[in-house]
Amino acid sequence: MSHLQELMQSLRTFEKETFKKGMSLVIKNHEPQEIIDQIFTPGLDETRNRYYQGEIAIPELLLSMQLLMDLLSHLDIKQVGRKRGNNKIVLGVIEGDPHDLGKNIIKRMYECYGFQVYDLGKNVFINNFAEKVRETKPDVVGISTMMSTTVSKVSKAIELIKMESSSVNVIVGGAFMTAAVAEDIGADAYAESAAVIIEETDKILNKTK
Amino acid sequence: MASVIDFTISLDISDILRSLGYTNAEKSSHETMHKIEEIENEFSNIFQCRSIYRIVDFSLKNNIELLTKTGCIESPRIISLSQKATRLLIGLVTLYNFDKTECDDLLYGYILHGIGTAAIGKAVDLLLNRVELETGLHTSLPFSPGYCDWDMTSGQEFILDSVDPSVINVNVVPQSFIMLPVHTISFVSLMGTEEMDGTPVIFVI
Repeated sequence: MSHLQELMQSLRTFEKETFKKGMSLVIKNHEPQEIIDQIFTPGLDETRNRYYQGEIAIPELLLSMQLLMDLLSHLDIKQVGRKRGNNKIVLGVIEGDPHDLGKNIIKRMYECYGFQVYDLGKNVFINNFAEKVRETKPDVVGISTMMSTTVSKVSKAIELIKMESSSVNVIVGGAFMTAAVAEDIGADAYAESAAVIIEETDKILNKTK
Repeated sequence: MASVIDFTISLDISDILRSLGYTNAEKSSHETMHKIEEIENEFSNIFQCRSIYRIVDFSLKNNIELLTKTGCIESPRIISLSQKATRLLIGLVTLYNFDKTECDDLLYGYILHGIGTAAIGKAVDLLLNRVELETGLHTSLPFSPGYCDWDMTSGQEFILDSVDPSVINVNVVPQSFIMLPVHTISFVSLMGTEEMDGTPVIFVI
């Protein structure tokens, strides 16, 4: 088994120490682009798919992303091509809601896939989303809420964002969101979980190209 | 009059794994198990919960409203289950000394949250068991506002008008009705002489 195959295997079995040892060997013996193409991208896609299929749970998804980001941090990023390097995302949990665990998982997923993320945090005032849009000119704004009582604020935030920039896309998620609610409040897309966030984001990005 | 009770919770690994979303314990990795152990040890597997509850009489109006002295519940599911009930328990349970400030390790944060959720769920079970022993009545599974067919806003208003959250140091965010500490559950449970069946609909923190 090659170093690359061994590293991929330790990622599949979530063996952190083995992965870290294998990572050193791979970095020493392979070009950064080869590592991205043969480990990072397929490893991320495979892990996300396993989570989507119910084969693994969120802790293993997080662990895999952590290992892959650790690998990435050891590569000279300027030497490697990342598919979505120019896409910018503003993320935040709406005003009145302190639940940011889901948003943080989404943020990690975006970072793994190479998006440039501006994280506004939790309990974000509705005006702050529009202000960040003005400042950073993102492709997408992601808003999350876990509560039904804050959905109206998401709606208001979307209105302000669209007033600031009609071309920016808004994607929403959270426990009380559904595709129907997302449409009602004027969002461009809805993501049910971290497993589908990249596909949903790509769909709206491709639509606006 | 409302009663306040403290609970000390110890968790089984199966409680924690279920809370973390595992349907099959074999699926959890060595690293996940290690993190769980690390957090359990940090708290010595002792989680402190505080509860406040009140048991009240109720009446039904046209089989669409459940009325108490402090308000009403309009949830077809709860109304349906109440046909066999004679009293209503209204409760709040919170896990204190647990919330942590920002944590960079997402895996650690997720597991910590799962452990908190498991602990608070177990505290609700203990409270209901204790009330059953004290009153000799059966309790239904807990129902939380925002789930099933019970509206979040009116449900939270009903509960918070019935039991004072400040007594157990729970703060409620205006308008959104989010309760802090985050690991806090508001719920009602129907009580009666017959066993209460019904789908468990508890607030997922």
